[in-house]
Amino acid sequence: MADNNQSPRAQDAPLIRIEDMRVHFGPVKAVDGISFDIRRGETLGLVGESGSGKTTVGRAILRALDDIDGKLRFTLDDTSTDLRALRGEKLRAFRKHMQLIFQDPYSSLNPRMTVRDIIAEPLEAGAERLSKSEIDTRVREIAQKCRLNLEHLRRFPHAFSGGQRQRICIARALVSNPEFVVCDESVSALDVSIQADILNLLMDLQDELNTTYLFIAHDLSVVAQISDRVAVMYVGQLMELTDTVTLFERPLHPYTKALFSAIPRLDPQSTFEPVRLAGDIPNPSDPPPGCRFSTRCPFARDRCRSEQPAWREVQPGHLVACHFAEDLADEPRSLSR
Amino acid sequence: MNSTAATVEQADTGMDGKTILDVENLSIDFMTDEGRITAVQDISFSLKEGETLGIVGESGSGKSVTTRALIRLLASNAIVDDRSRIELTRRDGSRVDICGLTPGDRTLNQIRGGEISMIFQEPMASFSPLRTIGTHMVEALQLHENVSGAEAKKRSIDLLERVGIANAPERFRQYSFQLSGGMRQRAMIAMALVTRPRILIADEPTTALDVTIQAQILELLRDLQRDLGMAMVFITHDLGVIAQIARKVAVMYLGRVIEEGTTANVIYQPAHPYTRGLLDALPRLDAGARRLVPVGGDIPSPLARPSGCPFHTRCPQIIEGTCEAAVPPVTPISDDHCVSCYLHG
Repeated sequence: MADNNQSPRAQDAPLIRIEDMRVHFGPVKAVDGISFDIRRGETLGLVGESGSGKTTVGRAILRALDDIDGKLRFTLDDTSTDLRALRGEKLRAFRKHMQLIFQDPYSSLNPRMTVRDIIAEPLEAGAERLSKSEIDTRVREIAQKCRLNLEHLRRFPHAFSGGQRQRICIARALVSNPEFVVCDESVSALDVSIQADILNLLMDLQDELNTTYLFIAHDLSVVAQISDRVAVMYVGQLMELTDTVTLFERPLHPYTKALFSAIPRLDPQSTFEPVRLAGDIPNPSDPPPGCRFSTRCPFARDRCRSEQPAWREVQPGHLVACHFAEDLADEPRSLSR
Repeated sequence: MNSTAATVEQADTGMDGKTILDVENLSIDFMTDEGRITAVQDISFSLKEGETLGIVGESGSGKSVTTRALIRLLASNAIVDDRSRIELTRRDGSRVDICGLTPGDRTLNQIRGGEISMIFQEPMASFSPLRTIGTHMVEALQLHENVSGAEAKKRSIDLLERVGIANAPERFRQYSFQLSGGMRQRAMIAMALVTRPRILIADEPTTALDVTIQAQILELLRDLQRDLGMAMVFITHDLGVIAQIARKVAVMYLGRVIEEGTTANVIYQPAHPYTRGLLDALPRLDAGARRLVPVGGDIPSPLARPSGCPFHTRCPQIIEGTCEAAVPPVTPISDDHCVSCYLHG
């Protein structure tokens, strides 16, 4: 686990620093003021339910979106880049540092391209001028790392199973040797027996290439398995962020606790007692004043309904947005399994 | 925390009920452009009154086709083997073989929705966007029972309230697209239950839902089952969900049941290498382990079905010369627990 020491050297700066980021689509406040760091070489998990804005966060960092408020900095080799300011050719050149692995390996591969051409595309579309043989070498290298048979490079995607297709997607994302990869529900469409293999592959490639992942998923067990730290989102804002073990063993935010209590345990003799949350997830175009979770929180008080909780560090490395996090620390719902 | 929480054992009242559904040697093939595909092969199971049977399996395991066969909801290119029997004990005590009924048969229409109801993964697809929730429910009820419109409406609204829908009279008049995802799933459950079916088939009913909403729906199904005493067949790919809803489970792989038993036995003492592999491959919340143990290889294409045991191409404990030669017999390993594997028996 990385430490929290603030060193002046740029190499120790987080790879990505996000401050008060906002992304609004008309009236919809998809992301509404979030701040966090993504550390070099880590896997940061980002969990949340439908409409929490987790996908928008990933897209904003990758600059797949334009109208972003707040600060968004990417620090590479002592140079800090303002991602929001990148335009045109500069943005295109920067894309080789940041890639995305999608959820659905069936719709994200062009059926009319060979596997070789699919994997080579980021290199050919990038700003670097590479010869065909250089591209071929790099495609073959990454295909091998992704445990793809070199025979497969000449084939078309329809010939492959879901797990093999996702390996092709991973090879395409990693061929430009990016510093940072967003995995948006990248294993959610796969069967359990295949999903484990892809998770292992992602972890092996990270060890080998020192890639940083933002791992977005709704499945908490998958996130727990792969992440060094986990951030919890709810209706456009962050509720809690800390290292994976602390988050699952001693969650502080009532929403995190409710979320964890709702996971069906693999234990037929356990009593399933999910925290009952009143009502539905609020509409992100009309979020409640104060704390976003106050309309459903079992512990909400008057202050929660009027004053937005600060995003604060309650313990070293443990951030939470709840007025009463310390008072609620010993409420039930710590996780032991 | 709340009074309705119960373990599976308490919600399931089927431990000593009468058998109401008996499936024997069910085999289903499909004729496709690419050839004949075997979706389900020689499956047998039974269901008692008030009992929940979980069916767990991955893509292509045949779990959905199996349950669709129970109400003959199969595509026209399906071929049900002549030896297959699905015997239902009806409300009046008579017995009928659903495999022997032809589509359009009056008896079949009485059974569908009347005695066996089904809920699906995607509630949006179960409602017509042109009709209100109420119209759907009243239509279903009047199709099966001779009740007045006012009576049908009253029973529908009562049931909407029972499944936890606030402002039920108002929701009765609304369309499915006006409801949130969780509400829609509740409305679909209400629609399926309005005829008081004796068997509910639930095909991945919580897979598309967020985890907090999934928890609400699982609790609701458990409460309803206890109150109404209906039997349930619950299909899912999620073993955690099975552990919370079903007392008995059948594990399917490539169209066959490879292990069956009480959920506790199957999860705590898995006997088939595939079941063990599935459990080992599951990501756990108590992280730190980091590496998972995947089941090696890929699920074979249905066009290239392995001979013998369907799992032998991926099995870490394959007995060469035996496993690929013939399908292993079903071997009991304890009361309420049997496995189809040469490592046993």
